[in-house]
Amino acid sequence: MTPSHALWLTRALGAAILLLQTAEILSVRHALDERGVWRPSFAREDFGTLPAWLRALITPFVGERGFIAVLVVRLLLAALLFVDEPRLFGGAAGLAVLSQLVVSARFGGTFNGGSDGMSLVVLLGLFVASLPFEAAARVGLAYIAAQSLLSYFIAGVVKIREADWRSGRALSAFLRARRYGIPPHFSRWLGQPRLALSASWAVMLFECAFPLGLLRPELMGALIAIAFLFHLGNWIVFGLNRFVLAWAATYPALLYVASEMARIPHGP
Amino acid sequence: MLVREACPEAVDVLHPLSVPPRHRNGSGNLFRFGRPPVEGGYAGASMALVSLALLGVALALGLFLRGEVRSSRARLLRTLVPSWRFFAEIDAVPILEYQVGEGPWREGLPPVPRGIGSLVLNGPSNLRLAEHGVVEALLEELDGLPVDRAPSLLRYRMVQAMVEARMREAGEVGPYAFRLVASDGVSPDEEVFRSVVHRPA
Repeated sequence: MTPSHALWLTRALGAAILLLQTAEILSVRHALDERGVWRPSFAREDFGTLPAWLRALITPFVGERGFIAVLVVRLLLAALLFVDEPRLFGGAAGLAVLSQLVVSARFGGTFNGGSDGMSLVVLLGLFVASLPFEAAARVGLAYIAAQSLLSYFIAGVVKIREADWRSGRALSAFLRARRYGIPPHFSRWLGQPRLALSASWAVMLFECAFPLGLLRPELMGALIAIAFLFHLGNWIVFGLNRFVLAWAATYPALLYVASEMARIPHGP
Repeated sequence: MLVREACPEAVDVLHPLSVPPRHRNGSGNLFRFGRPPVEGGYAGASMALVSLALLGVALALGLFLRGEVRSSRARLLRTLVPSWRFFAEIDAVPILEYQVGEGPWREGLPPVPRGIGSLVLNGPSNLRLAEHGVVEALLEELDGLPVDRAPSLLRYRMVQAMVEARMREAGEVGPYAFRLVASDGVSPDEEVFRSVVHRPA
């Protein structure tokens, strides 16, 4: 995969992230009005702990109209990410990073946890890729790939160190957690001790083995296919839909880095 | 450790790394493979070096950033410098319940039904998870705080707003109280906080 192919795909998926996440927030904007949980007066109070520069950036967009304006601009930025001119898509990615900060701050730090973090990684990588230096595209893609790879590896390592994960007990507990609203038939089925044990080890081994994809592009392709199914499973069971697209947007960068690794000359 | 304490290192990740010209293709490179460069060979090598450096920094941040994040500032920094420690440990998470008058305790944040379309757009369900996040943050802020000071907390008032929204939806009126019940999916649920009685605004 060439850097330009990887970059184009990442831009397209980054645009999809912006579009869908913005549409989701527009669909629940009642939570941000004067009777909502995230009402403007609460937000202004909450911003007291933020650095002055960030407070200055965010404060004009706390009110309902200002925040809706930010969301509309995000829809336009999504369209600009498709333009094949680095200054334009880079500017759009840079503004999208700032808008992502505004949205996260408006929800008191984050709206959807890790998916907000990975969305920011993708947008930041696209911004870096547009900068005017020779290796910009490679560095931007490498940053996205590194964060994606580590997201699996660290998640695997922290699980495998826990006795509850190694015994399958942790997965059963998460499946019974009331906050995710998991359909009872999934909880019962996946929570069976043998199945929970097998599924736990499958998840841990897959996550820990993810860096091996750097050895061969074909292996990376296979791991990405498993990863995509894994995220689909998390959506079905836990309802974590945003993670599917946020992580999918990193796959072109992973494939690109794996193909570059394969081109390094080895031996004498 | 609070995230903001570890923040200075984050700058290394967030700012673009430049690759000096001597690391690129052509003469004067720092990579000596003992044979003439193949097309893309040194580009690949510089790519590998950049990737390894980024991996090292991000791995260090990911493994060392842990613990509670109490302020919005710390939560925002966690978004900028993700730790990727998903579902690591079984932790008791607080569940919000409320009671109107002397009635039964009801679930304050009932699950939102989701269909096939929720793969693409799942706003209400994600909003519910964000509300759970506020409840969790409230429990962290209550730790070590005298109970009578709880109503002054911002997140206490946000949770009140959640309860009042549920009451409006259900057409319930009257004085209410809410409580937080710790649930870890293993042990029996346990009440960890109960509010004073409020009247809807």
